Amino acid sequence: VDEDSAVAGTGARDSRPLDLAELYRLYSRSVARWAYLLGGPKVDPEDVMQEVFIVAHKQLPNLQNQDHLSVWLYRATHNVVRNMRRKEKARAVFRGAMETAGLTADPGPTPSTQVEQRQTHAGVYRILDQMSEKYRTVLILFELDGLSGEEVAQTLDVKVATIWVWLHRARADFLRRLEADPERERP
Amino acid sequence: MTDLRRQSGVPGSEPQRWRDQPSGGSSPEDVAAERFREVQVPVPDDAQLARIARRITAAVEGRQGRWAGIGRLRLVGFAALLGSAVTAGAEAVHYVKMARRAQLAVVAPPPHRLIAPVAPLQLPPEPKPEPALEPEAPAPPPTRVVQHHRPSAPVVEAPIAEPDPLSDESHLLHSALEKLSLRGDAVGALVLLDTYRVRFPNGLLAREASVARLDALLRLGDTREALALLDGAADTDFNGYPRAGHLRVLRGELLAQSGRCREAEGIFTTALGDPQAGQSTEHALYGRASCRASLGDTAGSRSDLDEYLNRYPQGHFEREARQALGR
Repeated sequence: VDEDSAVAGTGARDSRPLDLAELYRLYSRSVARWAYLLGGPKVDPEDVMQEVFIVAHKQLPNLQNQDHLSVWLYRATHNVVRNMRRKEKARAVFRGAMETAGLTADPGPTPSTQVEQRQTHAGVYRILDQMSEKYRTVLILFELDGLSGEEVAQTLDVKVATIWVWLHRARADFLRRLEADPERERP
Repeated sequence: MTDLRRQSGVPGSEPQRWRDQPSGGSSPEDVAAERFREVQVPVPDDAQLARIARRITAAVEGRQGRWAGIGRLRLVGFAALLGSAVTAGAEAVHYVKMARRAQLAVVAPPPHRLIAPVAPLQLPPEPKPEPALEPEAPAPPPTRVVQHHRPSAPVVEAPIAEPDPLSDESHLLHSALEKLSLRGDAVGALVLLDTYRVRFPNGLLAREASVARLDALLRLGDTREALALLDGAADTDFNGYPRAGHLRVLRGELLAQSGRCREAEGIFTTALGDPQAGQSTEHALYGRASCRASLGDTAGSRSDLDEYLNRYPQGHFEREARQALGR
């Protein structure tokens, strides 16, 4: 929403038909930010950006009259990230199965991968990734991205009152999981 | 229903974000706030954005499959938007050519053949004190139960409705793995994996399916087919495969088994310099000693075996290495 206003306010968008180059110039940084925030450390933001703009390229004729391109792009980013996370989860299940075979036996983490795992697992995403998609999203948008309740509601296409309920429950869920987190005391 | 806005006490105001709360304190909210403050969002610079733009250009071109008049100009212009027009355009052409080559190379895989188990190749005995060395035997069967993952329902309505084939795909692969790991039914697993290959030739889990096929083939002793599968994957240097380092070394071992020791030696040498080879390094070192012995490089083989015993005094091949060295 802010991006749309900024674009309109600066006159960055003129009356020419929207093309992919312009869309990328105006919104690539926003999409990069959403991709990082929504995906967390397990999702490559560049892969997300690529998919989002490919989807946008396919939908260009339908985007010409979109008032809130940033909302559309945010939702596209959300869907791409969600699909990538689902694929990664499915892959992880099968990787685990492969490791039971001596053929692909897990050689065990090397010192460098142990460090990498600590870094990956550190922070808020280890908890967020355990939560339901709905609560995870509302926490990310409100707490991390800094959107207002109204903006979150518009982005998720629900009432603002619903957002406050979700946020309350999401916070409680987060705290409950944090309490049970074995790495809670680690900085 | 709880309304956080009302809880905050100021009508129309929003609850304070955790990350905006004062730092310090040890309450659960304080710990949560600290976690949220840890998250720093990197901002991509122009060079990164230009690189991603080129990726998108290449991908869009690749999906379209051919140049299309004005569309081509717009896409190259898009890639050039953030600089380096000539380079981006050339890269786009390059990627399109690569994509076309890849499409040409993708043909229906040959039907899977089951052949009689191949007896392990006996490498020719070396003159004393160098006894013959045998490559590693196929791996033991898996035992763990695989839990089927069913993704959660979406929250936000998708701008573009996309079919989700992942559920069917993962279900089929799950069934194959279940046959393989729980029942030890390698033939049944291969039947399902053949079905998988027909239904999902470009599946999201194709690489995982390949590794499952490899496991099944090795259980059946079909090392020739297993090697053919690994040879195919080696064309991409096992890019994206689970345990790629291990698969490379396994290919070396199967090559050695089939008498292609010179190729195998190169693979083992590469693996020994690969920091990601992990535990496979042990196999690579012993495999290279074995190959060098077969190729008549007695000194090289002895050197590798000495190093093996130094690095892995309790290793899998400790006994064989000592025997080979006459200790």
